[in-house]
Amino acid sequence: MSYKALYRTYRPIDFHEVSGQIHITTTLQNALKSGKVAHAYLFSGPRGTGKTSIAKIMAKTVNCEKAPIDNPCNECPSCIGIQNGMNSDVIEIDAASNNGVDEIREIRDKVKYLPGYGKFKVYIIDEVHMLSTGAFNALLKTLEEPPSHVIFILCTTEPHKIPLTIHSRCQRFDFKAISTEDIVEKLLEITQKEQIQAEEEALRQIALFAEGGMRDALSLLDQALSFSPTHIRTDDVLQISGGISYHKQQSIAIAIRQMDATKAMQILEELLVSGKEVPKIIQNLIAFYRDILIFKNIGYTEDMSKLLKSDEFERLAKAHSNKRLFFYIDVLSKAVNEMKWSTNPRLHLELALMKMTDDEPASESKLLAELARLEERIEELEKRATTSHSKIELQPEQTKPDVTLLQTESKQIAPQIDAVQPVVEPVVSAISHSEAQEETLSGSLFDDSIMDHIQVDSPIEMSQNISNTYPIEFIEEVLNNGNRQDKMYLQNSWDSILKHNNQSDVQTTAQMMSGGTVVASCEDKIIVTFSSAGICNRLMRPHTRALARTVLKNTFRRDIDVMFLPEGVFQVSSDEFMEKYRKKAPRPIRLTPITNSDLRDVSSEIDDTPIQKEQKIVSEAVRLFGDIVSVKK
Amino acid sequence: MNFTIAKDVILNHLLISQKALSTKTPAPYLQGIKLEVYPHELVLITSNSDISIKISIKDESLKVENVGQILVPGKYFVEIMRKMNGTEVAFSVVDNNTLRIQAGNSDVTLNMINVEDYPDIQFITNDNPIKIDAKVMKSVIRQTTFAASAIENRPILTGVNIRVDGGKLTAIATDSFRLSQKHIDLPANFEKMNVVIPARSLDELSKVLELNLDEILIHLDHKSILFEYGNVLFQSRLLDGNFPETSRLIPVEFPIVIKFNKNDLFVAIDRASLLSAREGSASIVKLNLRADNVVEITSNSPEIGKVNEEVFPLDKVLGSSIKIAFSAKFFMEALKTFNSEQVYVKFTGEIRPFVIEGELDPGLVQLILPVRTE
Amino acid sequence: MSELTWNHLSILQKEVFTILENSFSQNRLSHAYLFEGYRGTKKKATAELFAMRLLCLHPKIESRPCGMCPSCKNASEDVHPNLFWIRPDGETIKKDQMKKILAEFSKTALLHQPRICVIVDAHKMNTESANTMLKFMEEPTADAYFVLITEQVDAMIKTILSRTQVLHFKPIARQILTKELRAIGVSERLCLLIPEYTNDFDSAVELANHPMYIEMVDFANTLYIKALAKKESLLLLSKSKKELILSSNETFDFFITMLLVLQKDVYHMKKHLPSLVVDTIDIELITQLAKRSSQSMIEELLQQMLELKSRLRYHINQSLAFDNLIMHLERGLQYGI
Repeated sequence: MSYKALYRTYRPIDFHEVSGQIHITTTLQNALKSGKVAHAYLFSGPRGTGKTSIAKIMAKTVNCEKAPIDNPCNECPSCIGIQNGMNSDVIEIDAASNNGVDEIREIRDKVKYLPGYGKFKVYIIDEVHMLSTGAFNALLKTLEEPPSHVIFILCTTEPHKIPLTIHSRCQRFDFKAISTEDIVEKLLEITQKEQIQAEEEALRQIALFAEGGMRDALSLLDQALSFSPTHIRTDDVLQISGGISYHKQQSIAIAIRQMDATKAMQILEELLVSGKEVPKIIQNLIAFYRDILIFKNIGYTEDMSKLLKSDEFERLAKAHSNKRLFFYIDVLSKAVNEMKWSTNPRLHLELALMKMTDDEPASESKLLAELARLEERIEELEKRATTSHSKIELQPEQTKPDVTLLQTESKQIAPQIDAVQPVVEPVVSAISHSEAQEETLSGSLFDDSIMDHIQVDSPIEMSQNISNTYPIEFIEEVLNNGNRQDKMYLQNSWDSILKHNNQSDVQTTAQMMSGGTVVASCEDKIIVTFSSAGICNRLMRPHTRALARTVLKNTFRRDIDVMFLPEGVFQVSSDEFMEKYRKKAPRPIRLTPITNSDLRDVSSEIDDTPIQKEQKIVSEAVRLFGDIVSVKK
Repeated sequence: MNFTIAKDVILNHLLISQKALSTKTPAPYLQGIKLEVYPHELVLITSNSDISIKISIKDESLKVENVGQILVPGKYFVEIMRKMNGTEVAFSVVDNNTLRIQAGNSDVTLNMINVEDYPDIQFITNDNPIKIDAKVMKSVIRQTTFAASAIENRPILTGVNIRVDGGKLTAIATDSFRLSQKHIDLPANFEKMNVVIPARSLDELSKVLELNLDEILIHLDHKSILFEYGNVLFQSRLLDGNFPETSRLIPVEFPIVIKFNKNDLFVAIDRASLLSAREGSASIVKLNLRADNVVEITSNSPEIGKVNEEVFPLDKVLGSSIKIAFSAKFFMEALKTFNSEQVYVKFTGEIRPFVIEGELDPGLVQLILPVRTE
Repeated sequence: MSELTWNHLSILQKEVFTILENSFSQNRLSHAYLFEGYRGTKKKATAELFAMRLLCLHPKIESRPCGMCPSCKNASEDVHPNLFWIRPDGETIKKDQMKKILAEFSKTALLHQPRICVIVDAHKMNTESANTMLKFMEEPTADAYFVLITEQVDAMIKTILSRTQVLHFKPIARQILTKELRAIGVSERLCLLIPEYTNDFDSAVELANHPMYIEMVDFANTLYIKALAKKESLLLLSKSKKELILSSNETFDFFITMLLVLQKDVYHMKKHLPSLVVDTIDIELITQLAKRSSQSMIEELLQQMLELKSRLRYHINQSLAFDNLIMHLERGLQYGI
């Protein structure tokens, strides 16, 4: 009915069978061979690393009939007796259940009895850190004057809990966690001996799971055998340990990187249905991102699975910047924390995935709005620079008068620029593709098409006549002939403009428009609001506006004219309209023309060709900031 | 269920049954006495899970009207039987749950325990039990159980190892500081056996063997040992595990052998240990064989005092001088097991175990581990 | 009875039962198992069956107890002399409790059958008692088996973990729990939503039959319906339910979870992923709401709900938090901005 567990069957019976701990076995063997045996040893280290095993081997060696020798012969009656636990000269004590002073005094009392069988009485005290202070003191007395026929071997997983006075009386050996390689080697040995079929990767998974403890590895191997007796495959090990295959991990990572929340959720659903659990999934994912991080910065390391080594993995690594990886790991770690208190961990993982997949597209339009704001700021600063320029005398020695002057000026307006700079830098570098180069994916985020819409404008006279672009008549017409139902319909289907406008010419316009809200419609004309004025200004340019109308036509299959307004501005006009409506003003209701410092008249702006645009951008940057600008391609 | 029986008969047997009743047993059903009533036989079964006793009563005073099986609360049942008057007792079951006991002028109703709950204990007998004289068994027990360990740390040492090999039975007990071994010859060859019986069980058995019957039959099994003694089956659980290898412990050659008068040696050691008895630790005495062949037994307690005893060996001493220290208690306990008036104390060396044997005690060996002399 | 339960359980915990059945048939039984997993994953039931099988006098198929022999009939604690259950004595499992068992196991059995010791809440073993057991596990006697049960595997002493075969009990999958609830006649919406709150079968049944919780599920649904209709103030509506919902941390947590599930469904709908919707009988409602709200608003609401859920464990002004949530819900769902 029962059998002996693998970890018991394969306990090393001599120094050669010990895995890892070369530094310890060598030292001990040398000492034993020359008969130099200490009376007290302290073995410390993590669990399952061989402390008790080596203690027993030592007990055999010192009492072996062939002593002094460096390895027990395992043939003489003494070795056999100790191996079978039938030799009362080797006494194993578990300190955790015998941690009182009385128990230690009992030991001290009996310690003077000479060994019955061999040369030495060996006391192996396990978990010795569990002794009470009184017990430690009692033990200390014996360690101070140990009888010459006694050897103490103290074992512990927590050496810091042992008083220094004990440390100083023992020869201390620190056991290390057994390396994954060594564990795999042992597992291979065992599977061969037991004639078990097992994939090497499966054994590696077991070794990784064991985290340095040989006993854990062997227990898991036992379990794997019970689960799939004929042939242990990687999938089997993953199944019983709840781990996830690298293939799946890669799939999720790719889906996330491509901002494909749908796919990510689908894979998650698959995993959950197949019995994987949320905490394990997140753990695996964090470990996977960590592996990418390590690979990116160091390369392949020893404890990485060989399965990771693939072109796909390397491509994936290239597609993730360090910053992004930290971000992902951060989001996932936070989710792990939050999950602890939740009855429904799945929710947290779903939200984490949402965060990880949505961040960029949402911020893409935000980024564009950001850019727009920045440009205006730059223009403003430029203007001030030019106006103050005229007041300052030219200095002939300067080779680049404009720039120099501007530099002088720039010192004056430096604080303002400084404020703008942190925001500008990424813009500048974004503009020059460097960040985009760090992450290369098919379909780079910052396409050339976007470039069309980023312009550093030449300084233009601030036109107060925004009515050219934002005629109040348009607004009047829409509000006076407002169709609420149509507005609702348009708003509800607003998201679909992306779907209907995939072509490269309209794609970016559609993207920009998607962040807006339809607030009014009179069927052939609509008003769409945004939170910032910058984006309105851009969209209201004739060329872009025409594209916008195309977008609307593609989506709603009718001609719709559109005006883009900042929320606040619309609110003002709308409020005015409502009030006049209530006061029963004569129809059609007339409104005050719009005045707003952020809006501009863009009615006469022409678009440049791409190359011209780029040149303009670079020269503008240089003009503004001088030598600090470096252009990277 | 319905029967009558002579009170003395059932009471006497109950007193034996009682030995396997323990109030400390956690399981409630084990605090009961199971009565199995057959047409011409009354069986009493008790168990405290370590030992189980089954007694078969086939007395002429037993008259059974209806057969059946019941489980009665042990303690109360025995007390009731003890205190009842009359020569005959009548038992009857009322309402499935209660037992009616009538004897003399008393009429007692006792609530019973659900007999279904009682485990089906197998009393395992085999065809070829070992026959031993009961007196011999008792002396084996007396001479060995004291040496077994009293603490539970190493459970296997709390038992007595019984081995049967061919025509010999050997009983060994040790607490790893001293050892007691007894060989007895068996009337015939029996199957090889090697079991460990809890020393406490054997002590209880010894009490049962008061009945002064001649023979005891030992049925050995892997899981239990059963002693058949008249109509009593006394079964004990065994201890699982590896008993220490003791044959290697006992030295083969003894360069030094001293013959003593047992009593003289005993009292000398007793006196020597008077002063050196300390709380919690055994009192240690030293034995010194002088060049003039006189043996000194000494002890030294720095705060209390010294004792020096001289004991004169009988006969010429084999071997030269020796100085050895040991626990007085162990030595005295060992000496008590001997019937002989004269004992041999045999030494191998100062750091090796030594042995005591007696002429009139063939097969008995007492071994003691010495203590390091400062 | 045992055969039916064995079948049933082997579906719920397929891996565990595969391992156990294989172990029985190959004679590879481990002397020490650790059954670990969340509450309600049937660990105790499996331990009982395991013990029954070991003690059964006439096992049917390799791994199943017959259920009829006296041993099977008596195979519950306190009745079978070879079956021992250890539970914490107060907060911990004490050394003496372990010592008793070990003394027992150092002798051969009273009944010549294997012996099983089941330790419930094994993580409550203090180091002393754990180590007392460790030595035994190193050199166990032939017929003794330990089954440790715990819901907190992380709190288990590592040295014990490495000496046991750890069998992981998975939480009952949502779909299975939904099916089980349906099978006992729970109304559909509850069947779909309650498994989102708990994986524990027994808890789920309790909640599904508890009027307070039924009311909360209904109210969450009502809130969303009213939000779509836009005719009433949600805040006003929720005043009457406030006391019920805030009656304890658990009820508040539950209510928020119900809202979360609905909101998540709206999110999935918005993303054109109807297959991920949980509350399928309210799909119309969810679709409408998805159309009306912008993605960022849906996410914002979701985020708020989750944050509120995690803040619950601190001392917050729950009344305020509740009103806040309803207001956000109102604004978000009714006006979509």
